Amino acid sequence: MRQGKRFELVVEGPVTPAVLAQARKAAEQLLANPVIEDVVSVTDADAAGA
Amino acid sequence: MSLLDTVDHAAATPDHELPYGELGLKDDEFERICAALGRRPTTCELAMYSVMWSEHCSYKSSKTHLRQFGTKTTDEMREKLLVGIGENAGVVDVGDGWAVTFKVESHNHPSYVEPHQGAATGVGGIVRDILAMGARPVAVMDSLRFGAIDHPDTARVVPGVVAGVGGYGNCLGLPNIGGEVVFDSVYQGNPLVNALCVGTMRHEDIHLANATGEGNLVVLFGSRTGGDGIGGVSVLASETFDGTPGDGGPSKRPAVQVGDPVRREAAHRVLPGALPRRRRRRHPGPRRRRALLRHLRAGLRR
Amino acid sequence: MKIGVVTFPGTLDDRDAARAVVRGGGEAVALWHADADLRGVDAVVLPGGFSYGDYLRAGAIASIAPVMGPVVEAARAGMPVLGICNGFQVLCEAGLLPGALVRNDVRTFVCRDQRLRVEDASTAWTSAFETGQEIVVPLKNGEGGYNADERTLDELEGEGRVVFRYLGGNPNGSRRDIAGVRDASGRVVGLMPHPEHATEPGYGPTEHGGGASGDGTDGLGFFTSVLTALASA
Repeated sequence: MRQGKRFELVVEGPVTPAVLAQARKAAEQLLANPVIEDVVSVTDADAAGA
Repeated sequence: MSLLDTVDHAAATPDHELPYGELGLKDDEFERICAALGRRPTTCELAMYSVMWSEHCSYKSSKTHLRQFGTKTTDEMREKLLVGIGENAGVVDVGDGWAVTFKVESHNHPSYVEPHQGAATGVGGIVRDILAMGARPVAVMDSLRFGAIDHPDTARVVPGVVAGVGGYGNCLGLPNIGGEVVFDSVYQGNPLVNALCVGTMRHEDIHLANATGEGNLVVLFGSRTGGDGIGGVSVLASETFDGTPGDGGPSKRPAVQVGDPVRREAAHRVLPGALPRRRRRRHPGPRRRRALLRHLRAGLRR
Repeated sequence: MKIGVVTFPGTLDDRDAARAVVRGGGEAVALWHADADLRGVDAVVLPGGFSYGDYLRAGAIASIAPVMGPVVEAARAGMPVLGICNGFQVLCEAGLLPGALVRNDVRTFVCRDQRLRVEDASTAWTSAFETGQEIVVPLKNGEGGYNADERTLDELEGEGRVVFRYLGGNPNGSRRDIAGVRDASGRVVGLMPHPEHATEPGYGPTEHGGGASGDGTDGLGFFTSVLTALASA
């Protein structure tokens, strides 16, 4: 069994590739601990039609 | 109806129906409130009455037993008794200028409805009372009574209560230094969850829950009111459950407060510095008030 | 010698840690999570508790608290730093020590008098012990399983950087029974068990004969060791 965490970040303005890159950096450096966790996916929820 | 149920509005609309039954007030209690005010209470007043007149706050059914603390206390007991019944917690002199304060309180109905949070906030409540006396909490204990050990509902209640008591204390660094447990079918639907907290302090740090004079500063601080609102004590404490699946106990779960021990720990740290010591002025002046508020804000900020 | 004891919001064992520092012969200096400097201390202890409620992950938010900037900088420059329990988690999250702590494999909180073997008595915090010596200090944690990838574990073993190992059964699923590790310099040490709770006769562990000291004060060696390390520096 695997378990995980899901973070929803709300940003001001449009989700540009730069914003997404920033979110990925936050996920890799703070939100997840690479020793025990993997960042599985960082996506724009609106663009994904969620 | 206007948005605010003001006193004038209440006086002008005597027949407006109020949900006093849902808030745990009986018909005759509601009539007493109306008689005391000379009109129907506003919704805000009703909420306040329902809390203050609840079993939880006024001990309306157990008052006669609790009075024995007053009549059965001997002079020999009083010799070491620094603070007796009526305050947040009792205080006993243990010598060398040190005092120990104890508080034991039940959190039965919330623990039946939502075992984990009910028991956890029971611990939270007594820790608050120890802090309020000016003491530093050092340990917790618990005395538990559950229904028949082989009853399915007992299996629902026990693990949550045990985890709630232990988890809340642990988050505050308070060891659970002992306790006792009994299983008997008489407690089906009415488990008893009694938690005790012990604190230590210097005699001069004892604080009583009273203030005199005008112009005193009132500061409310702690974690924010949760989705449970403030009605939990009135909704739950005066309720009766029979332990059968259809008694509605677990359905009242939203009325149980959710504990926030981490926030409590912050309060724990700011309070001793915020309380004036006895030998200093009891009523802080404006400058000291500003300093106190700064101190509280700094301590609670995250 | 001034030993700083850091208090994050939610830290619980700072009083005991400060008392242990004093019992060891040092001067305890209280450091607050929001401090921008270390107030002239010679060494730092990060005590146990639930820093910032352990929200996100145990020790994660504390590892980027303002006070950790100067702590990390000083540690890299050779200042002795000891992380106990939550403090160990903070040191791992801050990257001063390798690995991470995960939920106990038994899935419950564990509290017991724990036997440990001192695997490395050359560090700034363990010189009062002999390598191979057995000690007993309290252990109390919910997320104490030491974890790292095989390569890191092999490296730690190869470089002799495993400082403590659990004896008498692994209490929390830590890889290779590791209870504590050090950095390459031997100045930064982290462990899950609590030496600061075993520094005063009558208040420390009573099981296993009260440990090597016989009176439950095996933890005192941590706090005398650091003074020796500082005196010889």
